[in-house]
Amino acid sequence: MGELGVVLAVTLIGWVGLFLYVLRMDMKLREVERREEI
Amino acid sequence: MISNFPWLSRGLAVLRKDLRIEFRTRYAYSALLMFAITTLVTVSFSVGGFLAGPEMTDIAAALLWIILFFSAMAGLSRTFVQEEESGTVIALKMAAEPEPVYVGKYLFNVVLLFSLTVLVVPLFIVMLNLSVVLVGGFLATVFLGAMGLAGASTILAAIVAKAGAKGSLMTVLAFPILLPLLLGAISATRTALGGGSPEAINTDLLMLFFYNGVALAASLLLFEYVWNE
Amino acid sequence: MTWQIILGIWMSGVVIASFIYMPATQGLGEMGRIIVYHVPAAWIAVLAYLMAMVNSIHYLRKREIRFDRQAQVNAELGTIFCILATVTGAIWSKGAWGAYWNWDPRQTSIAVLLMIYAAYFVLRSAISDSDMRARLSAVYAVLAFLTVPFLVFIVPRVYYSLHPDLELVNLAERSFEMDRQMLVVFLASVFGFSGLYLWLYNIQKRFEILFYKKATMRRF
Repeated sequence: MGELGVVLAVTLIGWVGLFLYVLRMDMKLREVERREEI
Repeated sequence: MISNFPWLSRGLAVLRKDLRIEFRTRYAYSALLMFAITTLVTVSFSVGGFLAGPEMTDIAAALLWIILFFSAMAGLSRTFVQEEESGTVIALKMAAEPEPVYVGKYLFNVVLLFSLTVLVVPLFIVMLNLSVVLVGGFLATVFLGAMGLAGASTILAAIVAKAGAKGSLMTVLAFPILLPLLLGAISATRTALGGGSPEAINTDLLMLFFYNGVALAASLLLFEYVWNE
Repeated sequence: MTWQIILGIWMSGVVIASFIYMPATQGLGEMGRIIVYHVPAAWIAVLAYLMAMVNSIHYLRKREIRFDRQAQVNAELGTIFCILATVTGAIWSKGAWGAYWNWDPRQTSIAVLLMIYAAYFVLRSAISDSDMRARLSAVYAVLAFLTVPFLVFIVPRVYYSLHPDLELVNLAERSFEMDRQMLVVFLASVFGFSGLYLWLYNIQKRFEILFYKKATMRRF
């Protein structure tokens, strides 16, 4: 289970990292879009 | 009868023009020949006497089409470039619609590649000491394969000419598109050299036949988008 | 904002479930879990390419540059998923057949798709004029797509004649049945991957719009 646990951890961290990165991009875009409206 | 198909009659005029120019300068043909002979000699020298049996037919089949593919890349990539360079593009555009221009260039490339094949294939068989078991199938494979090579290369040469014809652009673009043709031709050649069942080669030949058809039809439809601004 | 959070939690759930909830596969053991990632990635890679091709056709017919931008975005996304699919496929191949690469029909197809994507970008980078770039890359995209169906007919026979002993393993893989837990995780993964693709596409699109707006505004 140990080795599998490592792979699980790596995949999960990888996914969460990617997700947060894209989410940050999304939020930055929103900020700029909001400013354009004004 | 040919005059009933304007695309064909005007295409033949383009073909005649290109053949006349080629006969004078022989640029494209010498590029083809040089590459093919060099590769053939190198291959025969290193591999010629050493392998025998089923391994040989597998490798030989692949080598034949490697030689033909890269020769086509070397020799056919400039099909449209000379028009751009000599400024005859406008004249050609005024004289005919895109389709006959494509037909002419396509036939020209087919003629070029067939002339090369007629020379290279017998040499290839002799220099590698091969024996052809299914002669009819072998000839059909080479015929359809070379035609397919010429067909796909023509439209790609048009794209490459417009894109600036830089170095290996032709090969990079051509490889994914020609891969099915190459794999089919290699498989059929392997069967023809090694003497497999005729059914196996027939399915390959059928595929090659359809590939030619699709390539020609698609090229005719898409060419105007490449040719006209 | 809510659906992005849902997507994040969803895929995290898929990741966890693929290791804990789902049992190890019959034929391949723990390695087989990768199918949950490999197949959806491959599907999205193909879907993105289809979308890029549709965009290309629209561009050729209507000559609106926004179709070309969409095609490029789809191609970029497709390449990312294609790389993911190829890598996971190689890992799968190592587990199933002992070699990372062996020209199995599906491996060849995904490799060809990757080559098509690469050629598409090489072509685009070679042309500086945006209209010509749009036109020529659109023609190439359509041309390349037409050759893909042929692979379906050739490759199976090329492969099997080269590696007859592996034919058995391939057949075993084909009758690979998914028990209910794996199927659930698998379908959830397909859903999640699709959502990820749509989200990334949406972000790219918004970015292009803003970029384009800024570029046009600078003229005043």
